[in-house]
Amino acid sequence: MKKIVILSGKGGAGKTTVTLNLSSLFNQATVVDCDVEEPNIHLFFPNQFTSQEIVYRNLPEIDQTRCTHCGKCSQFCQFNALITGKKKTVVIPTLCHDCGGCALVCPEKAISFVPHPAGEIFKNHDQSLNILYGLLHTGERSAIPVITTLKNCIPENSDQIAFLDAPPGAACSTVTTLEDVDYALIVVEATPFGISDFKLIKQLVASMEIPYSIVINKATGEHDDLKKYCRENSIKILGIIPADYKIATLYATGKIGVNYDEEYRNVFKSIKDNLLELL
Amino acid sequence: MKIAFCLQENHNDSQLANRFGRTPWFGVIDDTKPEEVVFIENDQKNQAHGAGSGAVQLISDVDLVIAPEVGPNALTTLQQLEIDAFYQGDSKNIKEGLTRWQADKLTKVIIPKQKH
Repeated sequence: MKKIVILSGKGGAGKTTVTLNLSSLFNQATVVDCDVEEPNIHLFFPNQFTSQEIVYRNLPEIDQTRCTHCGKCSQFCQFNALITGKKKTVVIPTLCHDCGGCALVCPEKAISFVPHPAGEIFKNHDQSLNILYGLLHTGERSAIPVITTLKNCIPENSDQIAFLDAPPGAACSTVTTLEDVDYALIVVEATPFGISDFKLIKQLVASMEIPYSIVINKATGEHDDLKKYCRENSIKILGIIPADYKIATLYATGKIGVNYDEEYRNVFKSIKDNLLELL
Repeated sequence: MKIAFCLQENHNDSQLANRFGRTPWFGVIDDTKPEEVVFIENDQKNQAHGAGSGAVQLISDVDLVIAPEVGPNALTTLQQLEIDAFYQGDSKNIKEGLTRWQADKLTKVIIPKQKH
């Protein structure tokens, strides 16, 4: 299955809008909401989602009979997740980043790991779309195990396309979403902030050697500067989505625009055709 | 009994601080010799996360903490290490805090300070 990540850097640029509208034009496709800290794609589908899998991460457990409270694990831990007292060494689960280092430095081999629930994967099938999303549990530090498990749930042996809706930003969770994908589509919000974040995220995508192109969203004019920048840097623009009150209203009421508006459908049809040529 | 206080500065008459995890200094005393204060600089105060538990590590050999408030991570850690925490209230310095604690006038911390 070909995997296409839709990302933007800036939040609110239109990742989910593009993911939903583009995937809705395919007869069969898989949609994966990788923004596990705040997934929202499932809100567009009225059917009940079913829990597919609980995601666990490792949490250190200290054998107090072996532990001599030497404090080596606490000195090693950069997140203050292990605190050594006079008679006891304790773990603070919410601070642990699951790096495993404490067990490596423990001279008494008193540290083992127990699975700790970190999130959950949900699944649904809506007409032509397979929909998957992950949900990180409140208070959990790292989205990585949930995103990794979520991506493993994408069926491999299929000629469908999987559209991965990336988390905002350019941090670890976005990097994890981008790992082992075939293509990246960057949604550029046509504002100074949006363009600035696009230039950051394009560096990330390029450094991971993933081919990419862009769509411009919320266009309010010609945006000649942005087009010039793309021309000079040989970046393909697959389509331009206008800033439109009607589209925003549909989205805000949980409707996928291409299913309701002919003009909007044509914009995305052309993005789809341009994309298929590049894959 | 060893008692830790949160201090603004590293001297015996320092004002008590208004934070626990991000206090500038800790002052540790033995209640039998309250004039001998051991000052510990809180190098955890600028941590993005986990300042509270890191601060507990600095004073993990005390029996009691007298603090303005205690955050969730710090309180969980203190409770597991069986170190009691009491609110300093409007005590101004170590001497006043200690006198009030000895007179049983301080309240024990059982609920962590809520996150902002």
